[in-house]
Amino acid sequence: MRHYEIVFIVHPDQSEQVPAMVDKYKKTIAESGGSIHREEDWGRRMLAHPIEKIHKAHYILLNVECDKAPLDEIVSSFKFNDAVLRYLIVKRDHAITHQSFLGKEREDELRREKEDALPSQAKKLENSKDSVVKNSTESNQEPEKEKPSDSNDAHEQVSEVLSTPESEE
Amino acid sequence: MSKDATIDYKNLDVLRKHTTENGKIIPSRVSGTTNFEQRRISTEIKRARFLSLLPYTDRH
Repeated sequence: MRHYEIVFIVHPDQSEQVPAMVDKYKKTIAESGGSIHREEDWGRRMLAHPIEKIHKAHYILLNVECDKAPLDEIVSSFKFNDAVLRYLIVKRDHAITHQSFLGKEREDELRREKEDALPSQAKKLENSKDSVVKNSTESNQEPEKEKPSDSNDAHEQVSEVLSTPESEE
Repeated sequence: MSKDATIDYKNLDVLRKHTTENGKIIPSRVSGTTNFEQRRISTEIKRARFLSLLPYTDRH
C-alpha cells in the first residue's frame, strides 16, 4: 500500500458528473482494501492557461492509500474519460489529512459568498428604506427637521426604518 | 522565504513569489533561495503549471 495524491480536472460541462465519478473511484479503492484520507472539491476554477480551448474547469483532490492495481484502474478510467482534461498523481510518504491551501481558499470563497448574500439583503432593505423615507418626507416634514440633529438620532431612525419596510411593502 | 511556509504545488501564494510577472521561475542566484528549496520550488511550480494553476508564460 502506498500513499498517493490525485488531482484531476474535469470539463466544466461535465461538472455534474463529478460526485458520481468520485464515488466510483472511492469505491474501487475501498473494494481493494485502500482508504481515502482527504477529499477536496475546489469547484470550478479559472485556468491559468487554456486547456483544449477551455478556460474554466472543475478541480478535485484525493489523498488515498491503495495498491498499484486500483490506482492503475483509476488512471485508465481517466484516460478513457474525455471529461477529464488533466490529472496529476504524486506519491506521498504519509497520509495527508489537513486541509490544503487551495481547499482553504475555496472554503473562504464559499464563506465570503454567504456573507455577501447577507449584505445584499441589507442593501435591498436600504433601497426600500430610501423609498420609505421619501414617502415620509412627502407626507410630513418631521424627518427633515430631525436631520440636522445628532447623527445618533439619524442612526436610530435608520434602524427604525430598517425594521419596518417589510410591513410597509 | 520563511521556513514554516510549506512548498507545495497547491500553495500558490508561495510559488507566485518565485515567479516573475511573465511566469518565469526566478533563479536562486537572484532570489537567494537555498539550493535545497529551489529544487523543490521548481518542481512544484512545474506541477502547478501542468494543472493550470500557474501560467507558463504571460502570452497564453
